[in-house]
Amino acid sequence: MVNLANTIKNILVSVGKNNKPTYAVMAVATANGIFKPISSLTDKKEKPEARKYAALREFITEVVAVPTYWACGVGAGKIGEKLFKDNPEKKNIAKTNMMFLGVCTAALFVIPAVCSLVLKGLDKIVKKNPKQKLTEKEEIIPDTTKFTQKNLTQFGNIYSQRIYTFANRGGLKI
Amino acid sequence: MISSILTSPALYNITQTTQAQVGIETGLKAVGRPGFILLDNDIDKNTKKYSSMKEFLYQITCLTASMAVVIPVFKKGSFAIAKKLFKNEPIFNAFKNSDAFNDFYKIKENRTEKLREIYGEYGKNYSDEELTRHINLAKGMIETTSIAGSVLALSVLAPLISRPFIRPILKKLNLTDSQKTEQNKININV
Repeated sequence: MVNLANTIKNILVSVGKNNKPTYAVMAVATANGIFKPISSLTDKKEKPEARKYAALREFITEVVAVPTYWACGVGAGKIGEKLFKDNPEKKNIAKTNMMFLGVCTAALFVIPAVCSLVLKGLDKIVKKNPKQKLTEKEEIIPDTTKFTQKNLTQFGNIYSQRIYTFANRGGLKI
Repeated sequence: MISSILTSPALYNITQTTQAQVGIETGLKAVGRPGFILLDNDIDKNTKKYSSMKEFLYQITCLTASMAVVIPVFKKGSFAIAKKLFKNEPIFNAFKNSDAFNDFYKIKENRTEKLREIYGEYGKNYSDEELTRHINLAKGMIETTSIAGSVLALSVLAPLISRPFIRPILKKLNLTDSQKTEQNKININV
């Protein structure tokens, strides 16, 4: 028990000494990867297959986000450290500031871009799965035999609307 | 210019505060994610508008939930929790709450000497290293509870809070879920 208390204290001292910008964002992304899929799976307004699909998308989004935050943060931090390697006074400040800028870049550009690519890949795989394809069609079109691909495109390609929105990925069932 | 930004102590102070980190990161998400939806050429115009606005409002909800409710509550509660968990640590008894500690933490020069004065006669028993450790412990406690608050706000509360009010806002902005609109069109044509 004493050892556990000491370990907790040491962790707190370490956070207090240097609260790395990656800590908070990675903690939030990890929690999102757990709680958002659970939230989607327990949403009773959605059909079971749609729930599973949304939960999988949310999980994959956060699986992409966690290592991306880490890689961008740590990578940028190392660049900052190298840039000021001859100035020990400024080296640590530059490292932390660059780490923060790396995390910001990840949130603004890298994660949305990587997620877009990964989820498009996932959707191609899901499209090949007849069970999932059937479920998507059942949700949208009562009788698929009456529609050609051209008509579907004309109607706004409903399937793609479900794919390319972060809101749908994020499990916002509003 | 770039060099001065990279070594800016003001930016460094921002990077050390969880509230600022989470606020800025969520703000960037509120710009980046809707932006990427709007740039996607595979989606039709109405869906782009609807989804990007929905995502924007969701991120704003996250920002509001974490900034206005959870982080301040957790920050204020952090010292109360610490006083119970770490009864032998004098730093948590030397300050009434985290706000009082943060005011002290803003002092950059002779911080350990100031803490020794606050400790009073017991202060003489501690070396500068030990006092620095006490300061880091208190700062770490505040930031860790802020991280816990952010997790609760962004991962658990925000999805629940956002559901009841985002749809009415989207309706007021005349943005409709084109997925359902198209479904209705198809049903009518059938």
